[in-house]
Amino acid sequence: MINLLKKINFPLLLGGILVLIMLFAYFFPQVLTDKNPNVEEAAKYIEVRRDGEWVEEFATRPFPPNRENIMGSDEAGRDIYTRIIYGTRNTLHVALLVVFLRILVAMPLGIIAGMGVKSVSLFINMFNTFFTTIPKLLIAFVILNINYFRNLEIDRAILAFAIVLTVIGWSKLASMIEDQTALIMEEDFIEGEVAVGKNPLQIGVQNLLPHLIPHVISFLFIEIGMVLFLLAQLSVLTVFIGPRRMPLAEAFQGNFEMAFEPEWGSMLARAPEVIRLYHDRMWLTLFPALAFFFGVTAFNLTGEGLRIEFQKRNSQIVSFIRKGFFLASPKIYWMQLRSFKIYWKPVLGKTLAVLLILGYFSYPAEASQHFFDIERAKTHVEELSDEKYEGRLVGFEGGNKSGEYIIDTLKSYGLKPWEESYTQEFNTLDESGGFFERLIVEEAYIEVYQGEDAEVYHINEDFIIPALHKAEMHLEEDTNEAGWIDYHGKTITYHEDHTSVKITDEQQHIPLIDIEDHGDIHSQLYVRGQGVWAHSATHNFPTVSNPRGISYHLGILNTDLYDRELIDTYSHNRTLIIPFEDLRQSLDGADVEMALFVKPPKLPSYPGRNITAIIPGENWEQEGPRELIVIGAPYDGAYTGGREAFAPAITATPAATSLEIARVLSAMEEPLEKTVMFIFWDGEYSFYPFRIRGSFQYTASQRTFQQADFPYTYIDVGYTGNESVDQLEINIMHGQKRSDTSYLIRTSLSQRLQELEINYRMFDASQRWARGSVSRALYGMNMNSQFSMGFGSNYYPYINRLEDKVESINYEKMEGTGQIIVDSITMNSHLKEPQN
Amino acid sequence: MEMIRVENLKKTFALKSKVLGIKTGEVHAVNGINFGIQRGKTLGLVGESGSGKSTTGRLILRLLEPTEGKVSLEGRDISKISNREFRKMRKNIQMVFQNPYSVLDYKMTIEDILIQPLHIHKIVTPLEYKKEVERLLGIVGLSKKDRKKFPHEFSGGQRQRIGIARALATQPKFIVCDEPVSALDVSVQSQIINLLKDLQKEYHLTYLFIAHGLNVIKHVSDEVAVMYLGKIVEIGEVEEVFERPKHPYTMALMSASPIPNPEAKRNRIHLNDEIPSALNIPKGCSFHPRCPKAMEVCKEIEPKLKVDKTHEVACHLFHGTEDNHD
Amino acid sequence: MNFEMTINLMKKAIYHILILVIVLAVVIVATGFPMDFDVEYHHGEFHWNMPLEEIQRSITQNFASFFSGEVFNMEILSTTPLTMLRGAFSLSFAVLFFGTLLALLIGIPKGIIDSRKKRTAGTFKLLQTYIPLSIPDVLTISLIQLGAIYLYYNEIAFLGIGPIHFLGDEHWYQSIFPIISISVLPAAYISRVTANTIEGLQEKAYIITARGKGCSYFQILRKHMMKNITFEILSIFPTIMGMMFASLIIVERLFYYQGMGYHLIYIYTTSRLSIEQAQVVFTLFTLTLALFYYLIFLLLKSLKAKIMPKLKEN
Repeated sequence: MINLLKKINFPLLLGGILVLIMLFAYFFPQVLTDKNPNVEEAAKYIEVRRDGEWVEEFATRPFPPNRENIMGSDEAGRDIYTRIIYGTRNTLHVALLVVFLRILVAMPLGIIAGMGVKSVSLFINMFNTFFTTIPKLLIAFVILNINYFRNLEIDRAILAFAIVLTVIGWSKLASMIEDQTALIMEEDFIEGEVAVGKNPLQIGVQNLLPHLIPHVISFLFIEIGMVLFLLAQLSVLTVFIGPRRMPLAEAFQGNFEMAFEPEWGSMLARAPEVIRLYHDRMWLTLFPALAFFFGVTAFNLTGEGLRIEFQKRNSQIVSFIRKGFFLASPKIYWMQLRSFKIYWKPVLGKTLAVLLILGYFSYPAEASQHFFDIERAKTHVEELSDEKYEGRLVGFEGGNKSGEYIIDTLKSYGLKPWEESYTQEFNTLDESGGFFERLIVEEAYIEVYQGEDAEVYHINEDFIIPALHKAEMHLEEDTNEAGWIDYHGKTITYHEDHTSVKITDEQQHIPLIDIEDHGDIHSQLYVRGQGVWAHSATHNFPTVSNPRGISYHLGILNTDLYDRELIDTYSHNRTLIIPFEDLRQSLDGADVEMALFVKPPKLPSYPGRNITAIIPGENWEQEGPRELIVIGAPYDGAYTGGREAFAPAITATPAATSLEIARVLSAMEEPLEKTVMFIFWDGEYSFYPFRIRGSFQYTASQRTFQQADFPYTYIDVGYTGNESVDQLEINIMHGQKRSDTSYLIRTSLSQRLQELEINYRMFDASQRWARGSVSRALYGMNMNSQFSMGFGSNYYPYINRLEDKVESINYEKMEGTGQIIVDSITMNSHLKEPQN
Repeated sequence: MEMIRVENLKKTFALKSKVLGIKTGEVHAVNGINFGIQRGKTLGLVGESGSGKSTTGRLILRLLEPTEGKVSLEGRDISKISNREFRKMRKNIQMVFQNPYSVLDYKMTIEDILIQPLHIHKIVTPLEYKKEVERLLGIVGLSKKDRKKFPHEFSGGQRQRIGIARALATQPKFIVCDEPVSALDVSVQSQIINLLKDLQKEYHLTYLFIAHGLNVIKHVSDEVAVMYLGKIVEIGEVEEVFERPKHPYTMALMSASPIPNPEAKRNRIHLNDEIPSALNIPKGCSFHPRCPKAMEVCKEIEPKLKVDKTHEVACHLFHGTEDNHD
Repeated sequence: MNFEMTINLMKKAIYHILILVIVLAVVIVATGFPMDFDVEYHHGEFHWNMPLEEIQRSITQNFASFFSGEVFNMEILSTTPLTMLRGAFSLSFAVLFFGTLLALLIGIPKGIIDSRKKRTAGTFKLLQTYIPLSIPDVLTISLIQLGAIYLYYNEIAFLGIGPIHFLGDEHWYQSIFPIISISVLPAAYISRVTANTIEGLQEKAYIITARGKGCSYFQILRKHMMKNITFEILSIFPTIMGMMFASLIIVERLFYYQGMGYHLIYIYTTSRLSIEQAQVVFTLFTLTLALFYYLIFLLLKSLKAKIMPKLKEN
């Protein structure tokens, strides 16, 4: 027995076991823990041991180690043990990638240097000297501390870290390989190999490598340990992978950023503060540090154990490798092929092996079970962009008609209404003299007087009216004999310092205002109209009165920014005109006489309508909570009537995508377990005014699901843009209602996106600075959801411009959007299976 | 016809101080030697350790670069050609090394060790490797089954056989045997020697046989050259040199060699001192400090060796002070 | 010969000085890189937040401020960079020096003890050499901190040294914990190297002879092995030093011990210094670090060279 014990290579055994444990945590984290690494608990009753007994106490986060959280929780209330288990994957990814890259660089260089090429040896030496003079830690810290790296999402962060740490650290490995190579080259048998007639390359491959590889393998393991070590150090200096965010409601705990992804390094980032201020909370640092210890030990021991193992003259492996080369050589294969009669057995065997290997690698990822037909989606886009819908403006006939189209289509697919009706209606007109309501000005023209002549300019061809004084909507008495509202006046150039213009004569004056690009004109007007006066030239319009004695605010905005863009007209406390080029030139300079005639605008006459429909799932008939998947897509747009050049398609893409998804899901033979609900939002386009936003109506005032009755996951379908932007933006938000599988949904989603080869960028919308464009619907619906995902952006530079056409839509991206949603619902097991 | 000719071959090593990196001295390991070997014949090379004989062998094989001099194989100058060209030539010149314990790559099987020369010089097609390996093993007296084994599974003598098999694999014309039996048991030595001789007859090989044991040399060589401090001091047919040694050094060597006959009288010639360091080669005849018959002229002028006769010697006892080139 | 020797010595000296200059220059360039450099991602494109000229200007500025000596007189937070450096340097030097000493004091005897036990490769005992090598310094420090906290709150004092606060550097004895922390890993390495060397030597003929002749273990150790051990330790010293420099940063950070390492990180993350000030001080500290290391490196190299011939004599 003792002899047997003596023969066991303990470092290898122990190290091997530890590595296996880590690999297990890497592949099957759910087996080791049943909690979600991202779920935050603020306060709860915990059971701790006091005097040998389990006692229940009330505690707030961070929880000390207790019965449920065996390693306690972090300051956001997330279970540390679970985060360590899930974090194994991310941390190991970095470590393994770094070492892999380092070997790629270090091996050839080390071998070449060890075989005698002085220049390479010098190069390695230089690198080494430099990076020992300045500790690698310092350099890595300086580089990786750049904000760009700090804010990368986890996949890119891993790659970025790997590259940086490789560049910094490859030389140590290279010099170890170089030394070992030199050692081997000094052995006696090398002389014999030279005598036989081998060139250096042959000696390198045939003699050196078999001797070197065992050493390199053990170097590799030890190197992994060293990288983990470095990662631990870096994280103490708050450099770790993964995005970070401000934890909600942590203001009193101090201003710090917490990591989002589970990863060992991020858990150590608070170490200095913990040690300084919170030494009664040492578990926050101790357990992650122990995790690193575990990892480093595992790889170090394995490496050392391997080294010991290879010192024994265990050459069978090497001969086996050599045989392998003979077997795999294509030249040999060819020769055997030519003498097929004699060598048919090996030839057959090899051919079979090759076919098997090719087959395995080209075996595609699991195909989508249900296909999103982009052609059908395209027909929806074409239909909804048709001029008969006049741009689908909410509250007007075109918008209403488009709603009908959608309802009819859904009915044809067999979708049922939620409760009784397919629609949820809301007011688009505020009787009290609404501010910032949509209007349609159908007819208007401007006359510019040059002496006796008058040049006429027409709305939508030569100018647009983004804002109309709200009084105009209601005072029909205010029209002149021909039924037009009119203004007369002389233009004056407006100076910043003037708050009012002295009117020295009976003439009315119309200010010409140059505006800078402060962004969306409507958002500006909205903000300013609210009474928030900012220091800018676009407010404080001087008063100009109309011949009938009523004061108006009228201004002409001198800008070319909106020449080719659709803008809706809103009611406001001033009237604004944006002239196009020709008119601009006519009005150039001061003292031009002009008159504006406006037909009283059309007011919204139809209610806004959110359209809802469901595909009942297996759980539809059951008692108790029924889990839903809700898919929301805005279907409204900006008014196009009278503007022939426009057939804006981008705003039609979400509805088109969603309709096709509805068709695919409704055509499934086997029903889904969860019920799927489709909502088509009305009034979503453009943020203002928010009370006309369909999603606002839905979530805040009209229909809120009882959390207990209908827990739901929300999927938001955003816009698909033109060719220029082809990366699918995805926003992930974790709902207030806790979901144990949300983290896994997300990792499966990432995997599927890669399998579908979709070019995407994922943002976590709880990050403080999320770059994604999160729609209002997504924010609103996320409140009560278990989990929310938004596919696509709500911003595009080409929306409603002349380039926004049916033909220009990036249909490939649209297909990707539709397909990933279909696949997630039908194939992502974490999403499609109810938790009860 | 002459297989190999060496002319004025020299090798000098520079000593460098490790700390300061400067040259502190020169070692003239091989100091200008000349000889030729006819096809199918064996030249034995004897001398003490430090005489430069092993270095000579390595120089011919270009395992070390000569500082000066010329080596010709079958009349063709092989000392100035490029490394690439020379590698092709290696097919024709092989070496049997001294230390059987460290000369084979211990991580390769015998089969691999023997296949590689076949592969490099394309002796046979890859499909015939196995057969050829078995053939080679048979030639050196090993069994076919041995090809799957590793070097450390063999005894010293067997390993030397493998080394010989490897040298033969390229079907060379000329083989340098560098003390091939010095590390082996006496009982095994004769087996190897006989093997080498048989092989020579069968394949018409030419040998340069380097050794420091005289009996071995006598058994194997047709001609013998005696080296001292990097120079050949005596060269001639083996019978001649052994029976009638001329150079005082040779005579001393012969006398030191044990004679199997217990009753034969031995006249040990004792030399003064030890062989000096090659760093400080004495002026004139390099042997003169130890020579019992040293003369005045020996201290000043270096005696030259005459070739092209059956028994030449570099010693002032046998020449006039002016050299004669016949 | 003498002339040649001198020439060669000079060549070597120039070579080393050149390397040093290059290293220092690279340091100034690297630290001259603006600290607020960032890359932003807007609507699918990456942008640098400053043009190339800005970066170049910053680097040249860095060079200028150093060569003009301005750096030494700059006023930062009511003190000059040089004063800051002096303070920080002496603190760090204390930790490094005594840490090394402690590492040697612990490492060498442990290595000797390890090699005494007759051990075969891969046994259980081997684990206790490898495991200490795997402890991340964060863990070491946390554990030491826990111990220090315990001692402090229980008001335990040693040898008249009052309860030592586990953070800060006001009193000289507060460097004790950092010194201990930084010496653990190097001690493990030193002990391993020592043990390996001794084992390697034990097979050598002259050792076996000596034992056969009756020399005691310690005599052998002293006479024959010590030089080899010293040589091997000197060989891995650069590695250990690199390790210690990195550890220094972590140790100082966690103990709030305001030496060089602490300052380096502090300068980078604090907002109390302007970008220009921070850059200058950071460069200064890094340069000092580099210079310090390089000098020790050269010292070690010459020590090694001195011992080597003596080794060969053996």
